[in-house]
Amino acid sequence: MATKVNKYNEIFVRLEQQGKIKRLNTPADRVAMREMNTRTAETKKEYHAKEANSQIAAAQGTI
Amino acid sequence: MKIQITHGKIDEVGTELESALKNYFRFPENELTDLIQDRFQAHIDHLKEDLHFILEWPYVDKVFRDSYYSYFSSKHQYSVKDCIRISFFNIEVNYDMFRDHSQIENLQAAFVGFIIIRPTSPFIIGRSILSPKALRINHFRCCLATYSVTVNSVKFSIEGFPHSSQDTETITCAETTLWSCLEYFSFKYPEYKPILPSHIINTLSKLSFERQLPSKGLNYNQLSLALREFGFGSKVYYQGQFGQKFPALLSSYIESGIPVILGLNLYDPISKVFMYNQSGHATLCIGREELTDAQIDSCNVATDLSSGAKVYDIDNVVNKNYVIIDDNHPPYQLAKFDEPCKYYNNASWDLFKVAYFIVPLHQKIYLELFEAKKFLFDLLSVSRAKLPDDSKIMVRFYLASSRSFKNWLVTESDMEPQTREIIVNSSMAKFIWVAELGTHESFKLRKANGIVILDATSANTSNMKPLILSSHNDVLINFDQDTHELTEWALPLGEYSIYEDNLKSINHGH
Repeated sequence: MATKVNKYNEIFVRLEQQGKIKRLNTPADRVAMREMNTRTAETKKEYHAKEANSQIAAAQGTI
Repeated sequence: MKIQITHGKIDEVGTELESALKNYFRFPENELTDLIQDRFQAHIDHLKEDLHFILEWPYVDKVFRDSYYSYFSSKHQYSVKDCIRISFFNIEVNYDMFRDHSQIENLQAAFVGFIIIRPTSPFIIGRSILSPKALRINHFRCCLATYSVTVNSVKFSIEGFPHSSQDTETITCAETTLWSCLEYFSFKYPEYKPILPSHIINTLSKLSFERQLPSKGLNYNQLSLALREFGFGSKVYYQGQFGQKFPALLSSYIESGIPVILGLNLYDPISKVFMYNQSGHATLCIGREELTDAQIDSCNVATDLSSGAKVYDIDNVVNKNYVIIDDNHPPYQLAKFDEPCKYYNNASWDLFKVAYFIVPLHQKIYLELFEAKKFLFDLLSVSRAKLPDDSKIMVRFYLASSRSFKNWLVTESDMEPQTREIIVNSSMAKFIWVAELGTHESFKLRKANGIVILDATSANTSNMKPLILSSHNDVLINFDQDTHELTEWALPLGEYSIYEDNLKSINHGH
C-alpha cells in the first residue's frame, strides 16, 4: 500500500503538542503588521518616485 | 578543401597563426606582425604559460557565417567565409592522441577552451569559450555554462563564459554584449534560444529609423527592448535613480548569478554628470573575486533598525573586483565598480563610469530587488525574531531558483535537519529572494545563522505576503499562504554553510 508523507505537518503537530507553536494574532502582532504595511507602502512610494526619475529616455547615446 | 591541423606549445601559437593568416585568409604580409602583436597577443598573455594548442582550418563558425551571409558576402572585397579555430589543452597534445581511445578521457580533462579567429582584419578575435582554468589569474566566482566543442573530430565539453570581439560592422560592443549574454543563457537554461547578429538586427528593425548595417551601436532602450524580445523581463537601473545604493544593487544581482549588462559613459567629475552625447561602451559583469577577510571587515556602513540593532549589507563591500566580459579585451577581466575600465590602462578610459545597468531577469520575477531588500530590512525592524537591541548582523541577499536552492539544502547543506525539512516542504515560486543573516566573523568562515526567504513573484508586499519564512535566533516565523496567518515556531536553526551555487569557482568545486 502506498504511503503518504507530509513531513511539514509531522513537525508542526509535534511542535504544537510541545507548546512550541504560537499564532501571531495578538493585538501586539496586529500593531507590528500595521507598522510593516506602513513601511512597505512608503517603500512603494519611494520606488515609484525613483522609477519616474529613471531618465532612461534621456540616455539615447549609442554604445 | 582539406582540414589542416597544427599543434604546438602556446609560445609558438603567434608564429603559427601569422602563417595561417597569410596562407588561409590571404592577409597581406606587411599587416601580419602588427595584427598578432596588437590584436592577438594580449589574449595569449592572459592564459597560463604551460598550455598547448591545436590550430584547425577551415572552421565554420556559426556567428561569423551569420555575419558573412547577412553582410560581408555583399561586399566587393570579401571572399573568405571560413574561420580558424585554436583549442587549448593543459597537457602536451599531438594528432595521434585524438585517435587513441585510451587518451580521450585525459584530453577531456585537459581541454580548457578555444578561440575563433575571423577573417575580419583587424578585428580578428571571434567567438571564444575559455575555462577560468586556462587563465593566469582565476581566483574568482562567476557565471559559467557548459558547451560542447569538437576538436580534431573528438567531442569535448567545456565550462566557460562566451566572449567575442566586435567586428565594428555587423556587431559593435552592444550587440556583442547582447550575444554573449544570450549565448550564456541559452546553454544554461532550456527556455532561452541562442541568437546570432542577424537576429538582433531583425528584432530591432521595426524600431530603427535608419539603416542598421553597418552597425553604429545600440542605445540602452534598444538593448533592454532586445532582451525583452528574447524572453527576459529586463530591468534597467540608472545611477541617478539610486545614488549611493546603486553599487549594492548591482552586487546583489551578481550574487544572484545573473550576468548584468553595464552601460558605461563618460563621467564629468566636476559637474558630476554623465555625458550621454559622448561615446559610450557596454560590458557584461558576470561575477566577483573571492572576498577576503579584510574586505568583509571593510563593510562598515550599517542600517540602524528602529530596535537599535545594526544591519551590515555585504553588498556594500565596495572595493571588490568584479569579473567583466569586455569585447575590447580578453575575457574575465577584473575591475572595481568605481573603475570599470581600469584594465584598459589608459587615462581616457578612466573617465568611464557605470551609468546604467540592465538586468536580464526572468519574466516571472515580479518583486524587484530594491523593494525586496527594503522589505527585508523592514521585516528585521518589526520582527518577532528577537533581534537583541545591540546586535550587529550582516546580511547577504540574493535571488535563487527554488529548485536549485532546495536541491542544495537536501544534497549539500549542513543546516539543522528539522528547519531544513520545513523549508524544503514549503511550497515556493520558481524564484525566491534569500537573505542569509550572520556576522562579519561568520561570513569570513562562509557561515550564517539566520535565513529569510521571500517569494520573488509577490509584487504585492502588503500583509507580509512576500514572506515565505524567516528563521533566526531559534525562532522560525512562517507565513501560511492558505490561512494568511503568521505562526512562530520555537525551532533552532544553528550555524550553516552559506549557499554559493549561484556563482561557480574552479577553486572551490562549485
